[in-house]
Amino acid sequence: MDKLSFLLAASGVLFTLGLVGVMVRRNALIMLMCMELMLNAVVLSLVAFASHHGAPDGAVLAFLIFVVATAEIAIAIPIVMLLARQRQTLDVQSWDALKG
Amino acid sequence: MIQDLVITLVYIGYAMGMLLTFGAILTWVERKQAALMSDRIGANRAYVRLPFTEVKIVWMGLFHGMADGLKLLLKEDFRPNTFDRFAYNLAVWLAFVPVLLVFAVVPFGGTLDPGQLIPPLAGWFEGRTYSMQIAPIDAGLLVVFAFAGISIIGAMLAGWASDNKFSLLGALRAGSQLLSYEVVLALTVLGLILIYGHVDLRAIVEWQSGTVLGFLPAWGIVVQPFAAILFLTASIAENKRMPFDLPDAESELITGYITEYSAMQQGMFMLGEFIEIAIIGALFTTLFLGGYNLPWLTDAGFLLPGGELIALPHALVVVLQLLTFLAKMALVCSFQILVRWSLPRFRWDQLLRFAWTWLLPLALLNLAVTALAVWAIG
Amino acid sequence: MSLVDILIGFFTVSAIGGGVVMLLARHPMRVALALIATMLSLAGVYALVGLHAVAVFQVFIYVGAVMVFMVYVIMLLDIGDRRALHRYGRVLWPAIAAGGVLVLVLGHLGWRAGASLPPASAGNEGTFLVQPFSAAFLANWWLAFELASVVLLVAVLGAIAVIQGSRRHDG
Repeated sequence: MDKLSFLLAASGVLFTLGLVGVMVRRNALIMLMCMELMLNAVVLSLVAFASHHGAPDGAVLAFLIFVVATAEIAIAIPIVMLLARQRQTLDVQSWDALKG
Repeated sequence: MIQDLVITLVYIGYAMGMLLTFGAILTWVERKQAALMSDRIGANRAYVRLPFTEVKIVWMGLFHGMADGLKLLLKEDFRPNTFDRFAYNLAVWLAFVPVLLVFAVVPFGGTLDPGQLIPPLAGWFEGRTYSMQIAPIDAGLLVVFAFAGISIIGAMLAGWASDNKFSLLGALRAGSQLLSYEVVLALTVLGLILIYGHVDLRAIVEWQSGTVLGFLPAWGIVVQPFAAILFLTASIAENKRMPFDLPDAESELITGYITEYSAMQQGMFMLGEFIEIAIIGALFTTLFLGGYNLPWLTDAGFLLPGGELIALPHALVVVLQLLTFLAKMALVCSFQILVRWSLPRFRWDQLLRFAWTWLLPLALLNLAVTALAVWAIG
Repeated sequence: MSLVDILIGFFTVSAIGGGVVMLLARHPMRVALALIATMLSLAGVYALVGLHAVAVFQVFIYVGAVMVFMVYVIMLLDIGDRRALHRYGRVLWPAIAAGGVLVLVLGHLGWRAGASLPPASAGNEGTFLVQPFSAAFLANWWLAFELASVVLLVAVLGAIAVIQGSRRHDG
């Protein structure tokens, strides 16, 4: 077992945890945080590859992912706040008007 | 390997001892300097009575710090019935530990040669030299900002976990204030990085050992005076001290986000604030005042402009550098206490407006002018 | 099995533990604290692997800005309603089953990918110091850098538009 396999497997596990979290949790803010966990898992795999090859491209991409994640959070949270204000709750299952 | 570990442990011991002593002594300095400034005597009632005699040692009020510490340790530790006990206890550490961690990247001295210092151990050290920094990371300045960000979370968590509307208000004020001024801090330092060409604090201090225009020391405050003023303002705001101390404003919110903490937990918050005064002093010294540099002092001794070298033993050079750093740090701490006791407090909207509409554009203007100057000259 | 490898293993396990707590905790603030713990552990992993510039930016940007914003909003939206304390939605068991399959697939793929690549080239510890990293960044990736600043500007404008629009709607 070398470092790269271990880190890539860990990245897969973290990504799955984030994905299951987004599917399963009911609180909108917790869903956002599980999305951040998925992004962090991707950054971990990028960093693992970058250190393995010795190329700085992976590190640069990780930095750009940080920027994009910040921009995403900056817009997602006001949207969640507006949704919460409409229904007086953060529960995403209160938005089930389209459900059959 | 084990030699590196021993030296690092010695550095850590020195740093912890120095910072905790500074934190304790600064409480005394604050009282006495405030008294000097307002033409009073200050607190001088705490005394120690020599046993079996009637002699009371007052010692200019230094025992008040000890009395404060004893009081906080022995008071009843009253905790509110919060629903999040874990966050309530964690917040104290999240607010206190990053303040100490920042010092890990600050160079407090030049190069240490343990073989020359302690000749019997020269064989064990095999001629290795160590730079007097706990962690010689080459992204030093970024590490400083990273740890400052963690302490924001500590302050906000403290106010939220207290189950008290006043504490929550204090936490919201603390969060918005600290985040705004951290942005200003980062932008202020950009002009400095442009001139120094490094983010490594050691390389920054070594850059400042030269001269500018032949006679002025090449300190940061000479090449970037405007940034120095902005940095000091923003870091006093980061420390939540007067005139920016709305998060724990005594006349408005009791103690803001610290209200529901008693005894030593409150002591940790207060001690963290005083240690951060020392840390701001250390950072300002490293970035703007030349760190541990004395004019014309190199590792071998005094190298005067005429070319003459006054050789000094290595131990004396090390001690001189340490003392220079401590003296400059003490100067900046004293200046911060001076500012605290001279200015009234900002209102909350004035505080935020000051950061976003005054300091931020001024920092950007400083960066633009610096970039133009570097391109024109260099 | 040097000390560095043991520490990498420790921090990775701690990150995964934080992820598990994120799925199990009831209150959003606990979830936020678990996510901060995960991010700090991952920063430790990045630093131990050699990319300490990325580690410092992870703490500075992710923990120091994104998580501060998230904690701030959790404090603001302390809507004490009972419904939000039900943790899981309707798709709990199918999601757990799918997650189990996915973790096996991804873990196995990651392991095999790591084993099939050529072994690591030694002597590249100097590429991730701050100066070579920045030089490579601005030499090859400057367009992405400029576009990233445009993305941030658009995000700021979007946030202002969302909040202003809601204020006008409220009247």
